[in-house]
Amino acid sequence: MKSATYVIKNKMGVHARPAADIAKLVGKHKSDVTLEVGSKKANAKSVLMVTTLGAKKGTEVTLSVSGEDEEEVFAQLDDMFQNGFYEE
Amino acid sequence: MRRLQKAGNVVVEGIAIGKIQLLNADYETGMNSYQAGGVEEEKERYQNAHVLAKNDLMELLNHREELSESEVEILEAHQMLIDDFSFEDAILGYLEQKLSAPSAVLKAVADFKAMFEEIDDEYLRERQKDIIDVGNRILRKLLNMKEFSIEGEQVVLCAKDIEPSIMAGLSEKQVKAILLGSGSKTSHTVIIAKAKGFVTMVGVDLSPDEVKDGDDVVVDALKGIILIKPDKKELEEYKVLAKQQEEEHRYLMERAQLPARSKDGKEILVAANISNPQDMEKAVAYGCQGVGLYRTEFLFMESSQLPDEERQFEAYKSVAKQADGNLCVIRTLDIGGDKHCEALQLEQEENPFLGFRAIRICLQDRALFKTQIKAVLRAGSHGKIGIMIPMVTMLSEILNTKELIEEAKQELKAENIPFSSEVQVGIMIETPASAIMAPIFAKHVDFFSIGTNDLVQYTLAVDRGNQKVSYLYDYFNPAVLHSIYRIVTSAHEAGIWAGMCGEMAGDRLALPFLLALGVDELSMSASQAPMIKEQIRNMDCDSCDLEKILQLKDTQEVRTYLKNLL
Repeated sequence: MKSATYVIKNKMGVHARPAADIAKLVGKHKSDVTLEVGSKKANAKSVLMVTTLGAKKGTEVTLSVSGEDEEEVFAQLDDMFQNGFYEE
Repeated sequence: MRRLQKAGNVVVEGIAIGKIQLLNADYETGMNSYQAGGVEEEKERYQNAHVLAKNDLMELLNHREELSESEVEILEAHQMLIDDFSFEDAILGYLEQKLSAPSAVLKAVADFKAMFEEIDDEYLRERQKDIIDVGNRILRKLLNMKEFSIEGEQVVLCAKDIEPSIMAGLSEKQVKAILLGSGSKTSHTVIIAKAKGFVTMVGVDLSPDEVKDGDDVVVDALKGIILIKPDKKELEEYKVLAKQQEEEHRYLMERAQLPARSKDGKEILVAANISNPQDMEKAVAYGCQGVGLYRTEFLFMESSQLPDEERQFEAYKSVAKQADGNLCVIRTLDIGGDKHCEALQLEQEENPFLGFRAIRICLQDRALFKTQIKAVLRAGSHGKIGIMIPMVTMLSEILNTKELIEEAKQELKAENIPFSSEVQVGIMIETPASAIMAPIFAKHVDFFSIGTNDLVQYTLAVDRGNQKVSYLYDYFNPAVLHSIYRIVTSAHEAGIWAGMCGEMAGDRLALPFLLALGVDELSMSASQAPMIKEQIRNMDCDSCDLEKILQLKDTQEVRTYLKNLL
């Protein structure tokens, strides 16, 4: 399993668009991916669960990826989080 | 039936005349008469409704050339939500518990709604509307309700709130205006209304007891009023107004992005006056080339706490980026006078306009001022930025501010924070003192921008809020013209640019005079820009004889002279 914690950088937080991007990526792969904010946990395949985390700018989010393609999935998600989902 | 007048908050300006159509989806009747079957039957009904709802979304997206980018984005989000496994799991769970299909959908929606409600961020919380919208879409299929359709043309749609996906399906040909009971100006529904250009007001309190489908209505989203069953004369007046406006607006918007180059070839920069980063979208759409006046005080007035450097930086950066390479002039805090600021707790004064305000406050509270200056300098690394000092009366105010700017630069450098050292420093000329001293001040700054609103008030010693003397308030008073002449010529003699950012800049009657003077930039509220640009394109710079206009004796003579030039 690979995991890392990020601080959300983009102004609008993890809203519909980033959540959809995450879900699309995860949907195409085999690994299980979860996002955690405090005591709330979301399966990253569900846009709804990810958006209800309410991860606004400045929130700490922990990403965990486990499965046979975890290296690849983690690398791509890591890039998205590191770069604030390529938003302002 | 009698005439009724209502008020609302304008989101999209304009005038619309039409007939009311109320949008109250009546789920209740359907729910009450719903005959539930067994668990398996309800599951099947749900699956069927799910497929039908999904097909509708697909159908809407098949015509994506008719949709705006934001509409497509919202509908695609709905497509993902309707297939979201956690949503489906929740519905199926309730179905297993022997709930009817419609109840199961409503319960699942309510669960997620509750989760959204807990979020402490307005924007993210607001997104619960999307899941409600998707749930209702399935519900309509389950209850055999017709999809909403608009009947007839010239429709003024009234609702407490409208689901974004219904908004997306509305045609500009049929719908003239949207009146919403809810007050949110940032909802998806409002975003779509803006994109479609529907005349829109929010916070409109209309109950079904007061209006019914087909009532005549006039929406005056310039004044923020709604007239239901207007009398004949009123209606005729508005019809004329609406028609003129529509034709003029269409023509001007087609040409809004063209440069404002006069017939004899001089280009004048037309920029926007803005109060917050959200204003930029409209400014760009209306052809404004950058920002001539960013009133930063609204950042300071919206909360009981002062905005920190980071918050200011984000706002200024957003404006700089959206201006796309054009100059953005950020005016430093102009609080006091008629603008109150809870966070600063200023004392009440007998003469606030002559009192502790603007640069006078900033130079006393240097920490406050330096924070703002740093945020502006940092925004400079994301676009072209100018910093403008308001209410200047003495050279020392300019020099002290420049010193502070240098200090801020040194500190940013030491902290290794990126900023621009190329930020232009200018002053707003709005006091008689600065107009008189213009030749001297010009040697110390990069630009002048004439703030006519205060300049007129101070030059003519007239309080424009006072009804008894407001007739004296007029920027065509020769005293004001002489002052403007002095300001612009002093700037040009010193080799710096001169702009104008008060009301006068957006008045076409003033254009012949301003063009003859060689004003370099005019800044106004975005909605005025297309008209002013068009006017400039249709005139010569030398139509106004400067020598002659400066010989005129009173306001009336000036107005008459200028009217003859247009």
